[in-house]
Amino acid sequence: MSSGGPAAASTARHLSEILDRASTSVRFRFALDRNAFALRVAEVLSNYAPAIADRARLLASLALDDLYLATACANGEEKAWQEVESAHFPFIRDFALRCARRDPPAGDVAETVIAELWERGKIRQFAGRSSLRTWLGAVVAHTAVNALKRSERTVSLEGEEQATPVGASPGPADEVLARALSEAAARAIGTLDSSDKLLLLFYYEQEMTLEQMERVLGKSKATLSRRLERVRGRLRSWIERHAGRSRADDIDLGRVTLDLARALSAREGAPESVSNSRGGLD
Amino acid sequence: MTPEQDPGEPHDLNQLAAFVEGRLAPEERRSVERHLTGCESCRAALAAWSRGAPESSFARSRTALPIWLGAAAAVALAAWIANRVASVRPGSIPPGPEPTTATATGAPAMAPAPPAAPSSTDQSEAPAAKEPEPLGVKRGGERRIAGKSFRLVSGVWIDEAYDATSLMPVTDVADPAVRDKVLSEEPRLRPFQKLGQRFVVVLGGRVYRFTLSEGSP
Repeated sequence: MSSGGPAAASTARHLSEILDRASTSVRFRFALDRNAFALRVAEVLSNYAPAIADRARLLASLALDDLYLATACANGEEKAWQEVESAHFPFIRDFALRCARRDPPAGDVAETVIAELWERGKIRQFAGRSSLRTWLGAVVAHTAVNALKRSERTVSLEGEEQATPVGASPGPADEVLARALSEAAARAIGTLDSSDKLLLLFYYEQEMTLEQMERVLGKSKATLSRRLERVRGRLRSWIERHAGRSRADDIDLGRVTLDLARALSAREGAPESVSNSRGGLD
Repeated sequence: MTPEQDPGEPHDLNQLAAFVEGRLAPEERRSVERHLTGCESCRAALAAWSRGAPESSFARSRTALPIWLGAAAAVALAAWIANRVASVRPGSIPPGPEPTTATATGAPAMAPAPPAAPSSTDQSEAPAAKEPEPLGVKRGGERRIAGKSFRLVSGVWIDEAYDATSLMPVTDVADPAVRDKVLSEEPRLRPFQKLGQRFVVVLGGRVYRFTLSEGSP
């Protein structure tokens, strides 16, 4: 074997390893056979782990049985759809009720997701990186967020009054101070690493509770609380060093309504000025 | 983000879902964190997801097992669970034996993800803090037998020395005849029978996976 010999051997080893894994973790209960499923898994591995060396770990982390179910659905297998329908559709509706706000109605979100899974073949996008249920939850959440954005844009176009940021419209002197402090806080935030920034963004921007953050970040509430305190302390120290102690004392980060996304995207390389940060400082 | 997504959708929900399940390798987790700091849409989606997540565990389904076990162990356990609960509705977790020690706490309302990718800042944290169990993994408690510590995960007692990534040889003990043979060949395993029918123990450079059914003699 000259042309492609090593590559072919590598692929064969690869598929063999996939089949080996699959044989212990997948219930092959649909028409989708082992070899066809192995090719789908190989596709996922190639998409998410371009480096061959990373594939064994990725393979071990995949939810193969759920990927098998989703792949069978994507192939149009009726029995697979029946399983998804009975095991996951009630969850989708229930999840939409909990995560969607009043507008758009949760029922619309759930039915949109179900229709996309079915009609647009969205279930084909499931790659087994997580359980199918968590992925479906993420799809519902994203759909709800996108629908909310669309409805907000519609409201805005209809000329409804824009919300005024809390703490805005102080007098001119206060405004200058607030803006300076906001800029200092935004620069300080720019010195944090991604995980600490994310912590602040979830807490202040998304107004998530510690319990909700615990679900997403996988740290205990106690750990998250300590980290928040530490990050706040670090920000305060930075501001003290760069903006003076009196200003640092003026900042109650718990009440600052920073435009964190803008400040952070500036650090991530997007063209940005922190001067637009809102300053609900007191 | 990456590969398997709607062409019009810039965010890979597979990675977001894997992120909340703690399944990402550290580098990929950091990459997702960086994406999240710059993507308000994904942050909002995760916030919505966290509101939707019920009190009972669902995020880490029976196929999502703790990273601290090692990825290969997760697969092994997933396989075991899949075999044992084939008739159980997907998403449910099979009941495990009740722990007998005082540390048993029962299943948490919503246990968070494992410490899949601690940030550099985590190193300096005060040692609080027992890291919580991963979502969906039924936490039953801890036991110590013959100098070894075990944790109950999804009804299986796992030796804390178990590291599947070390590629140690594995002996699967799935029926009473094999068990009797293994016990006669390796009598040091006998004390661990107190753990019941389902446990994983590391002994003499070998992993022994006991996965007998509940009714086994």
